[in-house]
Amino acid sequence: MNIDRYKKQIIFYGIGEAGQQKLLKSRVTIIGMGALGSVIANGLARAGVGYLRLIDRDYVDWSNLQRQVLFTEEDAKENLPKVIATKNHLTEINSEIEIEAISSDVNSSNIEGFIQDVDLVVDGTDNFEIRGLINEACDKHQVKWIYGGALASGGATMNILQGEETPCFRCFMDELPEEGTYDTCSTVGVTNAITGIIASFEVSEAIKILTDSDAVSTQYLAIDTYDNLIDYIDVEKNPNCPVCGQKQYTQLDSPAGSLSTSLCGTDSWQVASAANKKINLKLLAARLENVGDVNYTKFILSFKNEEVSFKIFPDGRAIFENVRDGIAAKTAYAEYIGL
Amino acid sequence: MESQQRQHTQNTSDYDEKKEEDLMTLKIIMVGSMKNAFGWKPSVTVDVDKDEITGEDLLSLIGLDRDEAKMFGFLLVNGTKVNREAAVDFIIKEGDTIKAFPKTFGG
Ligand SMILES: [Zn+2]
Repeated sequence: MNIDRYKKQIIFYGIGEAGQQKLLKSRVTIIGMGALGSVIANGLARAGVGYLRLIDRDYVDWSNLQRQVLFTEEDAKENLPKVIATKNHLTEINSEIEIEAISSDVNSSNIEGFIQDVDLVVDGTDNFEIRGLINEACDKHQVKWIYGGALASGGATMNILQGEETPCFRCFMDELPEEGTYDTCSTVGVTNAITGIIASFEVSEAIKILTDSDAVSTQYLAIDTYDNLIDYIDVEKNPNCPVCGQKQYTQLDSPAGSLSTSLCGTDSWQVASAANKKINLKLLAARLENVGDVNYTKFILSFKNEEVSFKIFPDGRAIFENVRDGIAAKTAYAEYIGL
Repeated sequence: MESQQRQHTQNTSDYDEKKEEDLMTLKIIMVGSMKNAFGWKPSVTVDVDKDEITGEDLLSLIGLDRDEAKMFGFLLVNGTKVNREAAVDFIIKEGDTIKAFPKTFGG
């Protein structure tokens, strides 16, 4: 092993030789390998985290290159799975660590296998269904995890430390967002500065947690780079929290906790939400009208732009035309409709 | 809700009858994608009665009603997180620094 590669952070008082040895022995799962995940994986691989498990269901495309820093034009031309492209590049950067690349959806049936044998889980995802699931699985197995999210020019991050006094993600978010009521990066965009900043904070917190630093943040950090706002916010543990208080793992215990897909016609995929949530088509139309053509009635909303074309019904069922497979349909559902 | 808005907004006949010293100006800074609900304006300013106004009153006044504004997450008042539930009896005072946060950020 070439330990010289780490010497600048070994000299740093916060890490040192002992901290470096802890990093080399650490095991981390990163879920989501997009704008946040690629920066997180890059940071942790270069810092010498000994084992990285990377999970994502998506493929590299041209619209990723603006902010997903590890990917190249070649990856987009080949339409490589994001985890494979990431592993290829990280292996060139640090061949002395172990990288496991898993090209898969994350759902209630497989998440526990991905998180229970690691020291830390880091969030690079883009939707709240998976974050809720990560929160429940990590609470069940008492694995620390780091939430991170970014949208437009704003973003936030928070450590979930599994301590008796420390809040979980559900303590912070007392009301879960409803499907179709919130913006995504496909509807309002996202800058590469905010994804890089939030992911870099996640890397910094990950290194502190893995090296047993006493400087680990216990607050929710929110940043908006366009309006120059930074807030560190205290979050109380909720003694009645359904997850960390009452140990009710609703999403984890739901066998069909995630979206299901089925082929319908040639090149068309139907995506259905098992939760049977109601979609407010009027609110969804208002969010989508800036990014494509929208028509809606009480019963159906049709959307079309250069990337995607779909119809969605008030029960949350959507049909995507001309998509590669069910996974691509799910990804588009998460981006345009939300989970 | 409608009558409450009338009572507090400046573009009503009530306003003319109020003396300036009875009113206070509140500025609500919109964080991240919360701005989208206000045409991407960084903040919203309202003149309200100096009488007690709660966080919930203020949210209704600027159009972030519980039933409509599902994307709203919480208020930060002088650095303290005030969620929907707490906003009901949280009193807003003149000079408070108020920020509104969205429920979600993507990735
Ligand atoms: Zn909790």
